[in-house]
Formats: sequence, structure tokens, C-alpha cells
Amino acid sequence: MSPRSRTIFFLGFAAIGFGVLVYAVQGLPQFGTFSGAYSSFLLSTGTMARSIENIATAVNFDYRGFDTMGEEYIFFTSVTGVLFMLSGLRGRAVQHEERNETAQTRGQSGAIRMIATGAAGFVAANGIYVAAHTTATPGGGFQGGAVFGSAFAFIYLGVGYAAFMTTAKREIFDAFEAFGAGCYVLLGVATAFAAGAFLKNSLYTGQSGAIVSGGLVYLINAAVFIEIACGFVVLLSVFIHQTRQVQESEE
Amino acid sequence: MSLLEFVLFLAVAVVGGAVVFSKRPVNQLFIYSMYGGVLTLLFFVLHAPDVALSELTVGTLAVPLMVLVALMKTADKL
Repeated sequence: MSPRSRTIFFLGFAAIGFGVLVYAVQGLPQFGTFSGAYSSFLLSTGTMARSIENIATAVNFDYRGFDTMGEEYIFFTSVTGVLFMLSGLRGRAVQHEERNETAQTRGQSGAIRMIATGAAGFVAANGIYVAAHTTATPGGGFQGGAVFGSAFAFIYLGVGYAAFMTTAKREIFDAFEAFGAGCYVLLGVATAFAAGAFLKNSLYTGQSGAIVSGGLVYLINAAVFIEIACGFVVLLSVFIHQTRQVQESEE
Repeated sequence: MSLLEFVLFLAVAVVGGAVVFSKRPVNQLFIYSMYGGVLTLLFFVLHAPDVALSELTVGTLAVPLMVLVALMKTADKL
């Protein structure tokens, strides 16, 4: 097939696809006015029944708690896969000789180090804040965990590779990641025995709007925060470690 | 649809197009990072601050950093 006929072929199907898309958009409900039976039910009963102001959290960790467990294990499996793939490379790779990493050799000013270190602390605290207020304000374990994990990138960018590797000890964070992931299932099994159904929220849900409220949801949220935060750090450390390796020539 | 939403939708379309049509991977990466920023603003304006937070960390930091590392690893082979 010549490039010219291929282009014509593509444009024909692109036009058809665009037409179908326009037709489908015509049938959508007006912008901002969607009202499904399920969403209005959750909005009217979620806060009353579970003491959770943030309905997105209530859906994620309570009404759709089982689905979220699956999603959490997608993340867990991805991190494990990355670890396996890149750890395999480590055997064949040779370490660069450690560069003498001082502020002078990197051409780095003290201000950069200071701002980056401060930003790391601020971002990590913000991540914990977002995760801790999951039932009261927007955000939650996943968002907070991702923010917390990103804080470690500041250490690499501002202070350097050696400092990053000392802070983000992979073995420790890997263990905590597995701990967070396991806690989710253990909570489910525990409630199955204690309350009769997997992930049934039968704990005292507290006062709506309080930081700690929502009963089981708050515990699940904590488990997810630990898993995502530590998984993020593991991913960062694996990828950043790769920048310091060269593969042996394979020819 | 308010003016702010309209402007942000337009910005997402323009920056998204720029991601697709940029030729060099390194440039593309930084435009992608900008795209994440614009998308974050759009999510925020559309009353989804939690989604905006995820997009901010994943779209502007995590993905560009990992792709950058991949580019560093493969730069000599390009």
C-alpha cells in the first residue's frame, strides 16, 4: 500500500469515526445536568448513613470497596512487574563508578538544596494532610500517597542521587508497600468474620465532618495511603537507579 | 459552559495537539507535562479537585520523570 493510498484510507475512516463521535455527543445529557438514580441516591444517603462528607471516598472505599481492592492490586502488580524487569537487568549491569557528588561538582548553589529540601518536607506533609482528611475534604489515600511519594523526587533533584538512595531505602518501602496491600484484604477478611460480609462497614462511623470518621473507610484509606506512597517511592528509586547503570555490551 | 471552562477546554485541545505533533521526544515530554498542568486546571474548574490532585502528581511529575529516565537510558541508541 503506497503512503498516498494509505492516507486516503485513513482520512475516509477518520471522517466516519468523527461523524459517529459527533452523533454520540448530540445524545449526551446537557453539560453539568446529569442525574442518574444511583448518583442521587448516594448523594442523599451517603453522608447520613456513613458520616462521610466526601461522597467520592464513600463510593471508592465503601459502596465500591471491592472494586477498589482490585484497582489497588493493579498498582501493586505493576510495581512488582517493574521491580522484576529492572532487577533482572541489574545482574547484567555494571555500576558506574560513584561520581564524587558534592555541591561544587554539580555546580549547585546552597539555595537549590535548601529550597528542594524544604519543598520535600512541605509536599510530604501535604500528602499526609490530603490522605488524613479523606472523609471530610476532596482527596484520599491514592492522591495523598502519590503526593507523598513525589516528595522524594525533590530530594533527588535538589540534593542528589546518593542522598536519594539513602533516604528511599527500597527494601523498607517495598515491605511497607506489601503491608499496605495486605491490610486491605485482611480488613475485608476480618469484617467477613466479624460482621458477616466482606468489607462490611459495621464500625462506629463517628461524627460527619470530623477528621477521623467513616468507620472502616478510614482504615482502608490508611492502608491504601501506605501502599501507594511506598509503591511510588519504590518506583522512583528503581527508575532513578537505572540512570546510573550501563548495560554490558551485548554484541 | 462558562468562559473559563471554554478557555480551558480549548487549551487542552491545543496543548494536546502540540503533544501529538511535536517531533523530538524530549520536547514532547515537556509539552506533555504542560498538558498535565492544563488538564489539572480543567478538572479543578469542573469541580473534581481530587481527580485534579491525581493528575497533577501523575501527569506532571511521575510520568515525565519515568519517560525522562527511559530517554536517558536509550539516548545513545537513538
